Amino acid sequence: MSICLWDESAVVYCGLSGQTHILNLLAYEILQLLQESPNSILSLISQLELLFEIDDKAVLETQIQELLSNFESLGLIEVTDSEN
Amino acid sequence: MKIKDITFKQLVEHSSGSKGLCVSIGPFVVRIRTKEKSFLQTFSMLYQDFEVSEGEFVDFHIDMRRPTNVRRWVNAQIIFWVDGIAPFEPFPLDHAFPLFEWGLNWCIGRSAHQYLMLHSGVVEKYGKAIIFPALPGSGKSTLSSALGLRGWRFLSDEFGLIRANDGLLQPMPRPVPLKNTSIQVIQNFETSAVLGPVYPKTRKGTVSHLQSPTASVEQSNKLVKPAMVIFPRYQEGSETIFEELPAHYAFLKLSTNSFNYEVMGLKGFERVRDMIDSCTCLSLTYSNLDDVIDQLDKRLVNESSHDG
Repeated sequence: MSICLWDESAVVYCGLSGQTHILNLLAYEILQLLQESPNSILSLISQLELLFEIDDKAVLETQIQELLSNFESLGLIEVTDSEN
Repeated sequence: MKIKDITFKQLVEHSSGSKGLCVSIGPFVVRIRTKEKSFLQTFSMLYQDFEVSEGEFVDFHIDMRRPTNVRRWVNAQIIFWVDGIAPFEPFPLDHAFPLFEWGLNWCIGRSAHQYLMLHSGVVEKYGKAIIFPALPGSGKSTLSSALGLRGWRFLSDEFGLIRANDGLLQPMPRPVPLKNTSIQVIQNFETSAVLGPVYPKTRKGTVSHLQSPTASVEQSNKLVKPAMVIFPRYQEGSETIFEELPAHYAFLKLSTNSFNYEVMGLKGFERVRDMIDSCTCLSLTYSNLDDVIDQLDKRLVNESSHDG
């Protein structure tokens, strides 16, 4: 997987599917964190809460859950049982 | 030796023989075999500055032949053959040249994956290339042609060939198929422009091919780095308007403009990414060719001064 970031948008190339996707900053940060190391959903949420300084944590959690689900369906990440 | 350096009689002899006529067209060697003299007359005029190749290695083996049925003589037709297959329906015999051009596009588009192929015009001045990626009807051929007629180096009208290994632009300055109103626009713009026959009622309307500038053809082996990516759009009566494009949007437009971005996989991604990183990416709306050429020149001068 290759990612490049310009301003507040990123473009990611998925070698498995051969597809290219445009990402917003939140999606980019999630992929960056997951590229560094496997991570649990709870850990991702807590790291991204700090990064984005969002007051409404419930909204952020929902967004993260949706993004992870999208990433998985696009083949960008793999969800394992140990994360749940 | 160029096409114009051989007599028409020799041209006919070469192309009707088993070895055919081999011509270097950009990075490709094309072998043409045909006995059709009217096709060869047009070809020899529009490709007059291209080099005859000895043909040690040939990329595309093209035969332009009449069918073997009654259409050989009655309402005569012509068939484009490449490497022993005929991928298209026959064309009227008097449309042999546009058939050859579209056939050659098809050959390149389906096989030249050593390049990221953009559907774009490409020109160069001051050592800096501008890529004009655009959909058909946007005016890219007219704009690229006009720039070529004003002394800019014309690299391509149809294929922006980005070399996969280093991102340099490979020229392929073939004749430009001007369509419909563009034909008159270019004739009015530059009265010395050399155009081939007019082909009415093709699948793209009326088409006439503009001969490429000699100096551009002679520099077919001079590769250049892209400096600007400009998405042009002709709009009648419009002023010349440039607008900066967000990088991710330019990436999306450029990658979807490519004939083979997906085929190239990671290499395609890297080449587009590098262009977005290193080039100024703009949209352009225009109607006045002289004005847009003047403004493009100023922008390139400005780019050059930033480099220095």
